[in-house]
Amino acid sequence: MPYEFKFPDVGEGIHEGEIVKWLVKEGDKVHADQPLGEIETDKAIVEMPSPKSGKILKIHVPAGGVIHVGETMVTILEEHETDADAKRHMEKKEESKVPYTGSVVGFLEEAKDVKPVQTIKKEAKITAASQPSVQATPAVRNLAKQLNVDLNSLKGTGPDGRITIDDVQKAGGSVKKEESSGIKVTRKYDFFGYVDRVPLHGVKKAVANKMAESIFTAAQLTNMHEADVTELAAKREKEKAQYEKEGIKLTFMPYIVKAATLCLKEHPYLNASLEGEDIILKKYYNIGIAVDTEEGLFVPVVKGAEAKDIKAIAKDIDKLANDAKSRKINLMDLKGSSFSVSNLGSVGVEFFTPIINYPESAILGVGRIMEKPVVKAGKIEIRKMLPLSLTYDHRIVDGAQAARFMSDLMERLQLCDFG
Amino acid sequence: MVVANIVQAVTMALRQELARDKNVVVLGEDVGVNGGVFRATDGLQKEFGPDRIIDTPLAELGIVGVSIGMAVNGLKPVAEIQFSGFMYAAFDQLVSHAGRIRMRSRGRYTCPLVVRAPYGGGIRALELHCESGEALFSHIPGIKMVIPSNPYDTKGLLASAIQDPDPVIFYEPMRIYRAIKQDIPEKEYFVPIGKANVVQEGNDVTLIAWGAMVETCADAIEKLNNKYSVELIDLRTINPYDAETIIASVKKTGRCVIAHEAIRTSGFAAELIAAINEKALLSLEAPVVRVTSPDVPFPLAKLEGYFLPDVNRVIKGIEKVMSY
Repeated sequence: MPYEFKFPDVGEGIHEGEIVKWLVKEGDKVHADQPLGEIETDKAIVEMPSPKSGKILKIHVPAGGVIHVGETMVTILEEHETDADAKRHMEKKEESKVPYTGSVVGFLEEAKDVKPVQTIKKEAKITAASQPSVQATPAVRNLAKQLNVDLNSLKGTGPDGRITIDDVQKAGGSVKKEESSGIKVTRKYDFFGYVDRVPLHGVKKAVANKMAESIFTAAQLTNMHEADVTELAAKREKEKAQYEKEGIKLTFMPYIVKAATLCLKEHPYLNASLEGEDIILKKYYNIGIAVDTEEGLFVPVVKGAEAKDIKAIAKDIDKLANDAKSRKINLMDLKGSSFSVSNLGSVGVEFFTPIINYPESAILGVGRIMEKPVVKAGKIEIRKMLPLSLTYDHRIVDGAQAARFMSDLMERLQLCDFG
Repeated sequence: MVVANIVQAVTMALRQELARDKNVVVLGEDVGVNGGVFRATDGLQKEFGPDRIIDTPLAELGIVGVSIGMAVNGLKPVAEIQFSGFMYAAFDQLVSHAGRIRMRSRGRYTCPLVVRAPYGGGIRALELHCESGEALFSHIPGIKMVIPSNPYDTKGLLASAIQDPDPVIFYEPMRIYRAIKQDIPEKEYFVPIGKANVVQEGNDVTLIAWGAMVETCADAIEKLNNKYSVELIDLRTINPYDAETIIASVKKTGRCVIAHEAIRTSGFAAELIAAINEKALLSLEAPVVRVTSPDVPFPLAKLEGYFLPDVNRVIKGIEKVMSY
């Protein structure tokens, strides 16, 4: 905006002055403090220095004219301003010269020339910004922008050829992502002290997801029982040597798996899963065995346990556990279980609350066998007791149902009834 | 052909319809002896007599109410409200009666009424003399709302409005009343109500305006000097608006700016944006931009330059939508 140099109020009761002569004319270049002209007030003739550097755009009062305090003497186009500023300024001045009279009909502009009636310019110009029409929601357009995907190059797979988020993401996959500096800052402390960060990946990550899915989905609760396995322990002691000769390590697990399988056949709801509105009762008995490895928890599966005898099951468990520990296990051996058994007895646990191997309906937790004083027919006897914890999905299995299953299981273990 | 500005085009249309149909009557404040505050009815009373060019008292509610009675009884009244800001006094007659006659009588009666009023600002007039209330009147079912932007459309649209069987509010852009001259046909022609005009075709952005803003937008396009290919649409009818033309254009360009003199909140641009969202969302490359006046009452003369959207504000809107 050009500078309007107004006649200043210099005090001393001076209200007006007379321009004696101008030392510059319109269009002249001036610098700050250069004298522009001489003004005579009733006190004296004084030189008037320019307040700005620039070009004299307009002299408002001619030499010999009288100027009052507050009136513009000269307009100066400052050095950084352009001719366009000058033009705009002058136009505005013209406009504001129209006196305001307060008429209700205001001021109507008069047409200067006749306009053609039909002014449609038919030749539509194609500019760089012109694009063929692309069908995409704003969300898709935004994603395309972020992934630097050109929507024009995509073929939409949505309704009416609409480009979907998937289309853009697929195309974005081949687009190089912005390279980062490669430096990742990880803090080794939190508010309360130093910490180590261990990234969750591999088996641990899979287990974490599986466990969370299970606990947030199934309504789980646990029944706990103790089975008297004194006779079973004697039986195992007897058979162990024979197995060892065949290179098989005989634990209690094959007996438990076999007994559980036989009970599952009688209690089908514990060998089941829930799919939507349907309970799926499985006619196969594949028993998952939880195995602790350095990499994390594995649950290899003894397939078709109902058709296998103790020895076959013992062999399977042995092999699967070794395969899992050496990471040589076949993926198919980790799938298809219908019921699972988790043994924490080997590490000294008695009772615990195992988490269901989702989507199965139950899991049997096996604890550590201990000699305990048991009252039998009025006498205290020392018996070998096996702690058992059955977690079941209460959406499928009721508490009493679970208890009946456990009572059958304990009876079989107690009586060494494996078929 | 005859050279005419918008006011003269109004007079031509009135004279033509008065001569064609003896049921057409003109009424309003000072329309007779005086010839109208903007001279729109100048000479008509001498030509058609005081029974057909009727001076009324200063009572807008009465003018519109009497007109409704005339219309229902077979006349075709063309009422003039001196300034659109005075039409608020007649709002009840328009909402409660004019728009409902057809429904209320199960189609036995219609209300072939035209209410003319100069509207808009930019002429340094007084309070209530600069209103842009088109959105208010677009919200009355049964009433059509028309705004021409040049002499040719004014004559053709006013003729259509007078012959329309239903009530039509005819807003005349006061600022360009005399600022545009065109060579227009003397003989009868019609510009259809409900049809927008593509003033200029373009590919980059759709610019929608009506009334005096069409001129402002055309100037903005000229000032842009081919930087973008702008499609300028003159809406011409606010209600029922020409969705087809707008949607086709936005689908083509993917960008849209709507400029109106009226204030922003619940302005008619909002309705157009809703239609664009409903029917052209998948083509949009940027949110539709509104260039409007701020949400305050129309200011006095000194401030109207800051209030009304001008060429630079329209260009800013176009730049905003183009750089999104």
